[in-house]
Amino acid sequence: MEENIKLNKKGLFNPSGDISINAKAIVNGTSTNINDLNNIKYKWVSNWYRQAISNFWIPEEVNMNQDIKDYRKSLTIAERRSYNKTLSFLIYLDSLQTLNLPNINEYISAQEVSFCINLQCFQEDIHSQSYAYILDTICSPDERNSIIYDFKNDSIMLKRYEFINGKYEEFIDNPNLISFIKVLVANYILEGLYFYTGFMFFYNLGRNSKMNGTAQIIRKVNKDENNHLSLFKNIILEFKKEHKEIFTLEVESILENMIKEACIQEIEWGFYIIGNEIRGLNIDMIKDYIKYLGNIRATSIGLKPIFEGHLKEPLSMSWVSNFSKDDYIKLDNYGNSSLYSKSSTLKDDL
Amino acid sequence: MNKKIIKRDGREEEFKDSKIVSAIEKSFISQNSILSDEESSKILNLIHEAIDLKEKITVEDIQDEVEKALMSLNFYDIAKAYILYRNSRTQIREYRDFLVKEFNKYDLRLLSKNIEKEYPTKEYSLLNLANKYKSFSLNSIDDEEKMNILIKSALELVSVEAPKWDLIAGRIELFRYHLNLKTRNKELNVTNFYSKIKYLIDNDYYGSYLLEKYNEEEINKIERMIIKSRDKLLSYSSFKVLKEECLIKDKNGNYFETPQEMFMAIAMHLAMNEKDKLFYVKRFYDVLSKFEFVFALPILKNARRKNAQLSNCFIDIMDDSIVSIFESISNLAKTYDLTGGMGIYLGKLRSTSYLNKNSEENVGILKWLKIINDVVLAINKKGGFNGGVTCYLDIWHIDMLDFLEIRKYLNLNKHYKYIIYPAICVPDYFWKLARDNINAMWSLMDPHEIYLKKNYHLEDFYGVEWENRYLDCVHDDRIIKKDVPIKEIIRLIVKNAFETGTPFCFNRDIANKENPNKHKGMIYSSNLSLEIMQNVSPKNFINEEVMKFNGEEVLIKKSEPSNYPTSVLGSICLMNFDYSNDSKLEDVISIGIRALDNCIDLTSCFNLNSLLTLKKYRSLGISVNGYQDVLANENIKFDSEEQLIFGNKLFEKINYFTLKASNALAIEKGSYPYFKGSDFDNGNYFINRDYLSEKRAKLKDSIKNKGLRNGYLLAFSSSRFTSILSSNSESILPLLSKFYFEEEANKMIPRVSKFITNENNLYYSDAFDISQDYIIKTAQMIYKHIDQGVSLNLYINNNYSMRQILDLYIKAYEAGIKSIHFLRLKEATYE
Ligand SMILES: [Fe+2]
Ligand SMILES: [Fe+2]
Repeated sequence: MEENIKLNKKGLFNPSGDISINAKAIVNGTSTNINDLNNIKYKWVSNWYRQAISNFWIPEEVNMNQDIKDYRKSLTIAERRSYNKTLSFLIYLDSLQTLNLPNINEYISAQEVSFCINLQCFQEDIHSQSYAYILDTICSPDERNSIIYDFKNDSIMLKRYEFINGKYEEFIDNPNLISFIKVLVANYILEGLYFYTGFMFFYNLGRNSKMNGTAQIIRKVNKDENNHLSLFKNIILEFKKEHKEIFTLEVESILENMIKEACIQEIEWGFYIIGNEIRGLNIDMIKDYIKYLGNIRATSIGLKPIFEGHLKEPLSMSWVSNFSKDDYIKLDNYGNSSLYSKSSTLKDDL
Repeated sequence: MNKKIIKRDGREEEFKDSKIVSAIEKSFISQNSILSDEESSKILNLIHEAIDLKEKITVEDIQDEVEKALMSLNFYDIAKAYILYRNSRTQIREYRDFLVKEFNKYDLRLLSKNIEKEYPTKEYSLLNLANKYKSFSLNSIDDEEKMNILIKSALELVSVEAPKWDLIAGRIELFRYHLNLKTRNKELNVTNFYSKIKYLIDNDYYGSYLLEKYNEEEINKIERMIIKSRDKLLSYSSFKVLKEECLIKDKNGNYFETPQEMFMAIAMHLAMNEKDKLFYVKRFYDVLSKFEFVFALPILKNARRKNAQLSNCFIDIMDDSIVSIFESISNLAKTYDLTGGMGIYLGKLRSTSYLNKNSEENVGILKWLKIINDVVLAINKKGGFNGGVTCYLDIWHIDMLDFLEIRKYLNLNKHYKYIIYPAICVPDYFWKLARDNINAMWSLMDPHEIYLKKNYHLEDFYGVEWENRYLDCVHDDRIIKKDVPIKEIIRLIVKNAFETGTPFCFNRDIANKENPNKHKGMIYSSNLSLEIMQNVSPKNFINEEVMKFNGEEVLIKKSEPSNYPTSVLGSICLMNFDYSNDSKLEDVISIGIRALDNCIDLTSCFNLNSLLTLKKYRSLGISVNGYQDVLANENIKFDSEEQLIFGNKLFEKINYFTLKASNALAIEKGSYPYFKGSDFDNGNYFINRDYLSEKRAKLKDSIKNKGLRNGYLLAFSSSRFTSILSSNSESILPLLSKFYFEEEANKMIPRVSKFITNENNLYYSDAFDISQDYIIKTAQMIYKHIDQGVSLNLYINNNYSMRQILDLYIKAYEAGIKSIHFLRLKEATYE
């Protein structure tokens, strides 16, 4: 049994490795470890990579002037509390991502996939930078610290952080194929569930014409996270193809339970953060939305739906997807444009 | 038997069998069966048995009895359907009551009933509105805030499946607007339209001419022509642009006019010099208030006011002298103070840096661009619809490379706002080289130096003549040149277009060859959005003199008037009338043109030079809106040959009716002063377009003999303003996407065509999904029928390579397309 679930760290140069494409694998591959990007096995990678590169953005391009005023003047007490706590939570999540992605990557033996994770890691850094930019513009230094380190005074928050962290540590302590799929799914939950309720909160402020700069930055983060989500979905599905034997009924139900547990915690968290005092949101809406997200996440990696019903986006929450789509928002013809070189992806064949 | 029935609101009504039968019938139909007379009387008998003893009964009682009767006659399915129907009615009623009870100041009873009646389908149920409202609503807010939330709720329900929530949101907003206006009318002692006009004139909002031209009796008649129910055509978005841009308000933001009063006052202004005033007031009001023919923003904003400025789309040349440059800048400032939206040609300016060899910075023309940018920023208070300025430079100008990278130059400081759009003026010769010999060299030169050495201005020529002179300069060693491979220039153009959507591209040779007024000058550049193409020329200053005026000394600046174009614009909004009915189409066009043509005589202008130009050419810019909606309505795909055939017929008609109307006006009021010698006069206009039918020959003769009222007529602008106002898709363009948001002042405004249905959904193409060949072919088809340009965008995604993008420009040139506005890039999303 132990031998069946063995997971090897990827090594450095392996001169005796196999040079055929078939030797590539998500984990435990036997190739040379030379970056041969002319012969890639996972075809979705090239699209994904190009897309992720052309998404490059920096937070400073978003104007926060109105947010500075809104934060002091238009946010209600309840809204400011949730704003702070949600931001604090996102800061935690992205910090964790930048720490944990390299752990996963140590075992990814397909170079092209490994490249994607490196790029993702870089994007998580940008996300951390954007929260710093937000805090820097709207808060004083002491407020800033009290937001970032809120978990030191908030036991509910601390408990939550420790739980999420625990899932990642299980893998570090005992890396094998089973703990590997668990950590992949844990990451997938983090990106596809925990972040999303945070995003939703900011979009809701935006739809109430408050903190629109924040919402705009969040939209950019969201776009990246969508990409990350699809990256991990692909990794999970490829991994599943390559290690069918691991996916026993038992393991599948462990994974389903992970998602279920995450949803339940997320709903509790939502109640703690949002309650019934935020205009535009109430606990029923949050419940419906999270159950729906849980089902979507489960089914798109081949698991059974977690909650009965909840297969369609709840009507009361249809605004979320509208507000999250960057390309749904048409800015003034004569205004917006980013300067940095998007044309790096433009092929010069003149 | 005189039985009374007690309705839910407590009122009593006569009991009628027919009402019950019709309700039961509905349930039968919903179950696909038919209620026979026999069955119907059986059911009625049972009901009567139960209720006849009572004198008064409630609606609920009767419905109970209907249920019982259906059950006892074994109509189980029907009974079930009836109960379901009854429940859903109750639910809707509860939600309606809930909404009504929410408000104190506003009585929503009638409004909500009307909305229910006019939007009976499920997706527009007030239940959805009430649910949405509840999720926003918190305790302890006042009526105004509640109203805002209600409107916001309706807006958030807008989707491709339920686009008309935009209209419902508009209804609610207008309901509030009218109520507040009523209170205000009382405060101001305004009792009717006449007294309102008088009040607005007395307080300097309206021009006094309205009361000089119309007496009280006439105004009372006019008031009766107002059709209030046309407000129903206003969506939230269209009402919003009216409020923000057109309706008159005082310093505190209080409004005076209803939308219909505003349309009427505009019609009164435009018709005031007509012989049969009231007839044309009504005609103008009708096309405008039904949004069949919508006038451009300056007309809707300024007509009816004092010193009304009614034209827009100014085009200027900055000539190569300090006096001229600052005259241009002064005009620029005045323009952006009042309207905005200019195009400026800079191709005559010398490159200071290039001739001054001591200068290290190679900035040349960029210095002037920065000044233009700063002036517009300083003047233009709110941006709005015409916030930008397009600056044109010839592709052979020595500063071209910097010009193409203008963004990098001006955007050193990230907070520096940037409103200049670079446009390149390209001769055919350049595109031919790009196509046939991309490795050839291209010589960049200084226009001023050419003048010094050759004694002519190279930019004053076009076509073969230009080409010969250009080659002559290239071979003249006395002229300093910067030689750059064509490929390098293309690379810069494509790269910048990919990143920023600009430079815009103006194909100067094509535009000039097809200029119907080439006997009076040439076209150096186009306007802000590249659809207006008219003669431009630099102004010659003669001198400044001191003269005595009433014994006082005054300074008089003298100059020779030049061509400084401005136009009067309007759009035919195809979806708002039966466009397939030729006589209706002709009628809309002829009334529209008449109104626009009147503007030329009524407008005041801060720039006398351009007022003179306007009166010489009597230029119009007539555009269309709603072409994409029409195609969907006809079930025609944008990217199909069928579309090209359909469009060709439609635009041919639009051209014909336009010329016919302008010819009729010429017969009535005279030709434009520069008519003699124009292509309209000598017939080339018709020959170039193969307009050879008998009908056309007749029109050609009539124009030859009797003239034409307007020297420029058709230019297809992509006017966001008229498109939003009329709820028609923008111009001839496909949609960017079926649904999107526009972010305005912290608010997300949803945009979706109100004409979209489940059936025609497929025929609404996303611009990025269409083969761009069809966009080019469509423009080519349209160009045959217009005399100026089309504000045309191309749409690419980031899979395009440089070669593919270049090919689009070359194809456009080969298709005879005069200009390309934005190159829009879709940022692909994964999955
Ligand atoms: Fe992130
Ligand atoms: Fe992420």
